[in-house]
Amino acid sequence: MDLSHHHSRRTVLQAGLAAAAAAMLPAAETKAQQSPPGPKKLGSTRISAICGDSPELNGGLGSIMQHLPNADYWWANNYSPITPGILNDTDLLLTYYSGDMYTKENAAAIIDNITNRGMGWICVHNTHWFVGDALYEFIGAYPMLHKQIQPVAIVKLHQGHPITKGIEPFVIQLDEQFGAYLVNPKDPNLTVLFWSHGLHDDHWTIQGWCVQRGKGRIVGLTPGHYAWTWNEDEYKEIMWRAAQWALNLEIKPFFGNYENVIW
Amino acid sequence: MIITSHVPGHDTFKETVMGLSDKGTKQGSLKAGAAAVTAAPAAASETAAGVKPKAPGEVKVVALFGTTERYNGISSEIQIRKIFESKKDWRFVFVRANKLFTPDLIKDADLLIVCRDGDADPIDLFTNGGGVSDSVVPGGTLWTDTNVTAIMENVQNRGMGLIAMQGTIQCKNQRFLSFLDVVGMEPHNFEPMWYTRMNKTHPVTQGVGKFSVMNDEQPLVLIKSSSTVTLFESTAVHEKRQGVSGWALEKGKGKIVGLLPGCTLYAYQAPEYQTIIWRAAHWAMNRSIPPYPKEENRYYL
Repeated sequence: MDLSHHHSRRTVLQAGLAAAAAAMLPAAETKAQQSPPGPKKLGSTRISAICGDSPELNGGLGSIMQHLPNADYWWANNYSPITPGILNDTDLLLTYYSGDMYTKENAAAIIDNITNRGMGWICVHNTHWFVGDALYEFIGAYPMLHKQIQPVAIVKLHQGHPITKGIEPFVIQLDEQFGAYLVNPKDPNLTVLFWSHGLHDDHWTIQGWCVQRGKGRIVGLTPGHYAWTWNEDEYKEIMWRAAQWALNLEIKPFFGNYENVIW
Repeated sequence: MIITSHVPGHDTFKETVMGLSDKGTKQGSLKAGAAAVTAAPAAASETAAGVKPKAPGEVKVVALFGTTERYNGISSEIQIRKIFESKKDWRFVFVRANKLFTPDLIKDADLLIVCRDGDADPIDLFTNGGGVSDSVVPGGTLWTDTNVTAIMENVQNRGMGLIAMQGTIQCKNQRFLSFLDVVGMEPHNFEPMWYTRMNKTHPVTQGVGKFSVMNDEQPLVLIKSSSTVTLFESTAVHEKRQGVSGWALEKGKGKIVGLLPGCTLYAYQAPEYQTIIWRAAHWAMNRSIPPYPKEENRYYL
């Protein structure tokens, strides 16, 4: 999936912004050296959350993911120690920011592990801003920069997909409304899970989608700039189901009863 | 002033607004002063007389939306007229000043839509020449005992429908609030509003999905009786305050709907709220409810 010919205004802008964002990263990386995860235990589900130095996100994702069966949850505070070896042991990959990890070798390892081994991947919040040309087509979406931080309604939830079935529209008090342009809206392996509506600027965009690639599954969920997003029951339920779907597990409800999610 | 729709050539304006021909003369000043003393009753008697009697088969809707420092009654009127523009046999009689409302106006009305708090009109738009003025003369109040009694009797005894909107729960008339079967709660800040917990079985909200309004006030009510039905609730997005914003009940022969969104224009622009108002009007008049022509649930596939 060589997309190197795509030098649109969007990708140029993205590259510039990614560079600016990357410039901010060394400060975080001066913190304690990241320890690589230990050897994966037999029968465990290795969840590699490569999401950087964000206690809010760690708390939000960790409190959900630790409920997965035989969960072996590893959180990467920074991105430079990520290697194909770590990815080869990963059953579910969670990414956020993560600009430095998308080296040529790691991008190839991600594609290989998902397509041929069935690794799952949840692209959280702004991941699609950082994956680079090699992975846009693979994840199914180009990034759309958010506008003002504002109340965002999560709407048009797909009632035929197990990740969003039965979940009604809900509103996040304030968020960055990172949107997605679909690379190929007619991709038969891609499903739009939900849209969003910016309540101040009336901006509508896709913020949730999923795609099957070979044996593996990818879910893009772009809400989640602030900690309170992870307090929304509906979003926690979506994230929980997305993890199970990406792992090709039978989906069990997080709250015991789907009806509890509905306001 | 009272303006009616679907009455070509019927000029109530000239009948209800003071004559301007004497303006500026000594005689005119004396006349204006004398007129001011009797302005309210004079205007009241003329307003009802200026409105064409209800024709056979016609649906008559009387509406009063005040214009204050916080509320634009004219924009609300325009929105209400747009919602019902397809109802060619419905005649809307808008009363644009509290002092011009009279029991006579509603004695043959099928529906009253009222959106007015307990304060007097801050500016009487229809005195001293109206429209051009270097002074402010406050207007009258709507919620007099006479008017309250007339509204209640028309609902209970004659079956007139009633839609009580927005600031009406701040009418400061306990008798009328008891009639609506609620205790009113003050709004807090303007902010994005999320309308939710739609009653999926009541005819007024059946088929209407959750929706948001970019900026609105949030007056709320506490419902007093178990027989009164909650139609929907609201959540203030930032404050997280939540409560009842829509309810329905029956009183004698009449039906009442309370609808609290709509301090700002944004609420009326939401197709979901337009649908609720459309359905409420039909239900309150005990009529079958046809689909709203511009019905849309934006947040659902």
